[in-house]
Amino acid sequence: MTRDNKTWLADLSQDGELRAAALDDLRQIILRMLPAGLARWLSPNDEHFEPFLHDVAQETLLRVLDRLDTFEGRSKFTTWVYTIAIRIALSELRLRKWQEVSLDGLEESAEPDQAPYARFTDPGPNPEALAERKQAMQKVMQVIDQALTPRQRAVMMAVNVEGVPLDVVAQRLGSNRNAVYKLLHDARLKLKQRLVLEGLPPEELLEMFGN
Amino acid sequence: MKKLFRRFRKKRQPTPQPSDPLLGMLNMLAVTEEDEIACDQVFAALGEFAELAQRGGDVAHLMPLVAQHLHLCPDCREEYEALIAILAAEEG
Repeated sequence: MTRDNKTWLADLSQDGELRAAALDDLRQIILRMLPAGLARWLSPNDEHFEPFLHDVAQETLLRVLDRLDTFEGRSKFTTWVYTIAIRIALSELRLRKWQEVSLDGLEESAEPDQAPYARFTDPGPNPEALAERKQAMQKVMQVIDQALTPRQRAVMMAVNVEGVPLDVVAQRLGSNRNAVYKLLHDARLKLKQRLVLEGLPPEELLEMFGN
Repeated sequence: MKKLFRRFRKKRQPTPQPSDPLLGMLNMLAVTEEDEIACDQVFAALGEFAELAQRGGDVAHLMPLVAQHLHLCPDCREEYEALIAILAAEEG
């Protein structure tokens, strides 16, 4: 049965058979479409795929019912449901992927971890460019050390250098993704303003590095 | 809502991040603005943004704050890419 947004909302908002039928249809839609969104993360041949898919579908239905009144109709209802299913699935997959990885620098962020900076020592194309770039890199690192708090520095290194997902950082810090993004935004803004004050606007540094 | 549709003050558009962490960070700093929207606001607008992109709409100009956030936030960007994959499969 095909439903428009109004019909989805009407059917799911009431008790009884209409709601049960709508939930069943929605579950089938999620089970059919979600694999396309998860293809990069989880193979359908993986033994955990089917149970994971059903768990996500169930959790999605519960969350949809809980948040039905927040649907603003800015997209198709099913697209809104997909965003919820994807958020549930990828958040879980990220946490599983990183659960065995120690993030000491993040969780004990009182002292800065110097090790990630070594990743910045990518050689330039020739000695002159290398010297210029090295000098700029040293300045950027100095600004990072001076301008950011230990926590900002640790989170920025974890996310931007180590590639740790914001969801995982949030879990380790007992926080949430919104707050981690805000922390990173404050750090980026502070760094940018400081680099501009030092006469090293990021745009000019990028030109120097031929980017 | 109007905030989401506000135009960038600068003309610079987000570019894919290079593999070098320093260049990646400088790219992020270059597009950093005082006003940015948070992950929850992007989540609320993601369906609309993805459907618009799927129809070939100029999302970078119509919803620049969402586009900017997706450039800067790897988690939201992954979720957007997954949504686009589903919408493409739905069409196909």
